[in-house]
Amino acid sequence: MTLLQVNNLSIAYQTRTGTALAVDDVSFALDKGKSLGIVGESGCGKTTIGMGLLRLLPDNALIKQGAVLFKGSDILEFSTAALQDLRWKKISMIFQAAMNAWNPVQRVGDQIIEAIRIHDPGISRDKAKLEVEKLYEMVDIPTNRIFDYPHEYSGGMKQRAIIAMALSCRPDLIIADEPSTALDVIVQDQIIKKIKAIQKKFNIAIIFISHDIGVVADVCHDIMVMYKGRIVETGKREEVFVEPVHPYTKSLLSSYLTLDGVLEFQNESAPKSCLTSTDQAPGTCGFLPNCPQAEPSCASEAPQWQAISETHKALCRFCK
Amino acid sequence: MSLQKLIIRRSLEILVIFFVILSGLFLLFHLAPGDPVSRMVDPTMTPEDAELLVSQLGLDQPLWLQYVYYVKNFFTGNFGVSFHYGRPVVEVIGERLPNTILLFTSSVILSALAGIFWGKMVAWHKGKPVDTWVTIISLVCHTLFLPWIALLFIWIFAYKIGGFPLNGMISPELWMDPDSGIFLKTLDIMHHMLLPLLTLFIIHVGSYLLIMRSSMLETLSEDYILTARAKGLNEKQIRNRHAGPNASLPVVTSVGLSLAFSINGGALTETVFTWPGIGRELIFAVSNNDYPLALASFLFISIVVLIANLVVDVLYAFLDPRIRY
Repeated sequence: MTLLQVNNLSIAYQTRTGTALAVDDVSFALDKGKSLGIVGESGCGKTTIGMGLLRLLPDNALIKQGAVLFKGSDILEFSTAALQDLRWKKISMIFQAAMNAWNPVQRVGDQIIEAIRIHDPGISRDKAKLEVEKLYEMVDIPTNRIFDYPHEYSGGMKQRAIIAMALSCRPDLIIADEPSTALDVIVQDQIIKKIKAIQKKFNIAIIFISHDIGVVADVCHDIMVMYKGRIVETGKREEVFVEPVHPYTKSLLSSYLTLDGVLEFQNESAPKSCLTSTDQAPGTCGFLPNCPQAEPSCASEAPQWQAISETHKALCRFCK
Repeated sequence: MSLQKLIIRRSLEILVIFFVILSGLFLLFHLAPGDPVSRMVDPTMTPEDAELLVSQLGLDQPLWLQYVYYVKNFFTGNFGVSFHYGRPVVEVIGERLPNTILLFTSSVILSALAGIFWGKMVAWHKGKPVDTWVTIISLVCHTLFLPWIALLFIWIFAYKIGGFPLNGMISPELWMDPDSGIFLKTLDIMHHMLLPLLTLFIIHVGSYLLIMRSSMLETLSEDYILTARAKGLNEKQIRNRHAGPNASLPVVTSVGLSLAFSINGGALTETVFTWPGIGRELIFAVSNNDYPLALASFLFISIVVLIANLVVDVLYAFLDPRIRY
């Protein structure tokens, strides 16, 4: 059953120098209980998609077109009240910067209780506290730490507490935006295992946004590779990681997996910054300037989606 | 709770600071030009009488012994007799100090609360006309010259429009009337206090508002505000529960810093409104070489400022758990 269906979503940022298209005509679907990984380098639009789904974008962002259908209704058409009701109760988030995601002057437990009670004022504070205790046990934080302040937690504890809070309203979907990036590898491993276990236990769908391909490969069933605001390759985990077809995916993977690959990658085609995609005219290939497989006709003809299998496809004229 | 520890530690620090002030004032008064005896000596006195006076005052003793007496007198509450009033200094201070504390605590609390409230609102409407106008008005208030605005208020409200007393703190005829009860008397003081309070409020509210506004704008870009929004809180809840308390911390700091200055400015306000407070008394004592009164005024003003700082510190620790170490 399709939980989330994103159709032709485009999001632009208005800046002093012009409009920058951060998300360009992105479509994807996510089934209930499944996990989708969005990978790509910094500035490719991953986080913008995540924030756009809950309409948490900054003021200068503009959703130019598209639809975000959650259980059939378009989030982009929601009223403010309906949106506030949807947030956290149906779709919650695990934030990139857990260090700063907690209000420093309020106790952690109170902030989780606030999340529970804002969506169900009928629950008493005591009952909500019991709920928090259960969540803490789930994420392995001692329950006597519930009413500590955020600065009294370690980085990993803060991140686990964020996971606890993300689960507090039993959402259908969790958007995890770089949930382990700021942590060291050991804590990172714990967090990832926790997320996987919880996802399986509650059958929650997850959108996992990361630049860390290893982490995404560990967690996600489906993978989307983004470059300059566009999806360039999408498919099942095995398909994208074992048999990548898009030249960008190939160079991205080679930059991660082996030392040889890194050297090769740097020598061949260190990609220029893709922070803005204004230089990318509609209907042209964004990766063209850096593409090792480019042919003269790439400059004049638009890239096209090529289906490699039923689930695996890429936005390139020459990938097979 | 570590809050208690903080209070104890800060109190001890304040004791040390006070001792430094006490000693500093002793030295200052000895370095100051003119000496107390010359003011008391009159031409009919013989040199012997003058010497007797000097030894009575203990001024022929070595400096360290004078210092010991000075400290001992302070802790036994013996501040001597005012040259001008001919009454114990403690009595004079005891009458004046509460008036100053009343005026200044109310003006500081009112202007800080108003600054926090308005600053929060203005930051929320950043870039709209209300933001522009309030910011301009706040800047103007902040830079106003205190005696000028005080005189202007007296001229407008007490003279042109009327209905406000020109000066003082009480109406003598009302206080002499045995029929007027405590309620009327309180009302009378409030009536007299309104103009000086308004003056101090206008001088202070602008800077608190501007601090709160910029602090609020900074807070609104913090990640935990995004968390609050993602949690489904509405804008009012985000503003009042999450952004407001964090953003008001710099205002509390600023209140602590400005306390000493507001007592200084207080001397001006008290003089213009002839408010019988300690700031006005201090100016009077200094210009009349009333050493005991001046010294005691200095000491008690510093005690008030130190205690107020302690209160601000405790308040800060209460608002921000991170500094309760």
